[in-house]
Amino acid sequence: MQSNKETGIHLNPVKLQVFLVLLLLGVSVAALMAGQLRIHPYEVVRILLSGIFPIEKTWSPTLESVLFDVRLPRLLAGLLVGAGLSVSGAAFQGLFRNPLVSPHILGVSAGAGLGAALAILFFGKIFMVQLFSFLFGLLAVLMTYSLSRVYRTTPVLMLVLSGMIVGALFSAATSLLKYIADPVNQMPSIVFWMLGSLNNASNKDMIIAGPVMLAGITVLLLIRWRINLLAMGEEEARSLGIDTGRIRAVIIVCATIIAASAVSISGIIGWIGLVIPHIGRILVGPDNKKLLPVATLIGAIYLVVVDTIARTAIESEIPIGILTAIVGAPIFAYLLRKNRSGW
Amino acid sequence: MQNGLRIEGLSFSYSGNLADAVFRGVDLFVEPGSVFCLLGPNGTGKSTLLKCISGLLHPGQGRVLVHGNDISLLRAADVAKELGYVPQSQMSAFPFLVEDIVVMGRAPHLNIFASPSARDIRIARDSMETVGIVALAKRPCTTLSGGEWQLTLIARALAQGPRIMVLDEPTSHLDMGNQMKILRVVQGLAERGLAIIMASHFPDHAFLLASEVAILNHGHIVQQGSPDKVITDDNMRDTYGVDTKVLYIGEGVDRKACFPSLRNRLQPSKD
Repeated sequence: MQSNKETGIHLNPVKLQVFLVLLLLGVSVAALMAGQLRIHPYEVVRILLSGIFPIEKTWSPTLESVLFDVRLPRLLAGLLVGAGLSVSGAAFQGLFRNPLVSPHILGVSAGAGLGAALAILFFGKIFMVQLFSFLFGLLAVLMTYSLSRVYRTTPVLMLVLSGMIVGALFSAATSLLKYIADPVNQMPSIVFWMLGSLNNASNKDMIIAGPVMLAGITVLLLIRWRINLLAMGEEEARSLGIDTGRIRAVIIVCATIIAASAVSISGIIGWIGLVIPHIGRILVGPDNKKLLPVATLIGAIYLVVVDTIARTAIESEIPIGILTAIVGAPIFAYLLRKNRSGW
Repeated sequence: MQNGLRIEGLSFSYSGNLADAVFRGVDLFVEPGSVFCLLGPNGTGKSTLLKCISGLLHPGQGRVLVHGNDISLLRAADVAKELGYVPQSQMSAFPFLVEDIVVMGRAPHLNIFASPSARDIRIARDSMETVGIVALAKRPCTTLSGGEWQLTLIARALAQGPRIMVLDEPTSHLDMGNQMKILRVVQGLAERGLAIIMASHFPDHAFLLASEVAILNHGHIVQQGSPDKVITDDNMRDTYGVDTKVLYIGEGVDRKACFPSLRNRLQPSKD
């Protein structure tokens, strides 16, 4: 159709979702088998199933340990962080009526960065780093939200500007900490943490953060049609009988919890929350009813693929924050040039 | 219970202090099946009044009654089921398809977790049919012309299933052909029994389809009544500050029309 050329491809969303789910399964198995110790895909499936069904163990305990204690939590972290950042990015883009918005716009990553730097400086334990980055991420968004409250409403522009102010403040404090940190150990730790990595993801993290992130993702997916209404603007949404203040608060709470959890597990991974929703929009159009599930799946697939590359491509691990952009930018550039997406 | 839209003693100020009210003491009634045309110079608060009527702004004084029910006592979604508001709206930032936008009108009928059902989609399609934009259903809204966009918004308001429709200058920025297209649609809605209140820049539009006209100026309804009674040489001059002749045109036109003049003081003002 003529019009489809102008605004993306508008694939059949059901078929696309089935394809993406299958791709997700394939990618997950591939991620579990790849690494220094290669595991045969058949073996991967058998070991996984042995967790549920009684299957005779014909494999070494090392293999099982690598799979269950190292690769599986890392895979789950990749899936959740990728899915979570994508879906909250898409929700924020609708909420702010701006396709250039990422989940970090309200200062969550700047806050998390400061929290992580503080914890590295004063505690040095990975658990404290995760806890502090989560709490400071929430704190930053809370500050942004209260700063933007005027006359019991929160105009979108005020939110964005408040996010910039809070973000600047927290980033400056982080820079100060880097400046006073011990340059041999602490400073590199802070810098590497900020580049992002799924290396620290453990089963314990997944048990704590997994349900929280899943809940946030689920709520965003459930209210996804309402995000369309918000994208039409505050007043129009209200004239359609929508309580815009409440639904906006729900979106911000969900996206913030997701982003803060993601950052606490994996450090700051940019690009995904900004670009995956665009790729989704090119594929199925801007209707959030179709877009959000597709963006969730693509985000999960994408981060697992990139993380697998990050840990297997060279001897040491490549920081994933760098790789998401290096891998993603050309894909995005290609799609953008091939299909004008209409904005 | 009285059907239609009744406004009683409505006053509004942005500051909350009625001393600097945008308008005060507005009374009007819009009957089902009729078009009420709100005239007035730019910046007198026509849009503000319509937003108060639609529940988007809260009046400092007075009541808005939808079929006899005070809207300040109703939930926003319940107001939206009875009253469709067609804003002066810019195009969306996202290239939503026309059908996706029209189906948004079903929002007041759906709970927070729901997406439009097949029935909602059918109602949206009926609205598009009524307004005559079925052919645009799959078009991204960013590719629409001004007139097509306006019709899309009217279809969305219609999908709400309202018995009252509030339109804020639906013909602004449109060429003559598109203006008439919109007015024809509005007239068609009135014929289906909707009570319609519409702000307009063009007094002629009132002659075309309105059964009642009000002029809002200096914060008051200064004139109200049938178009013949309200749209007169004097009233037009006092409202818009230009000399205007209101003449009856026969010759297949068969209505009155306004003829503004570039000259000032064609006739001496009364005061």
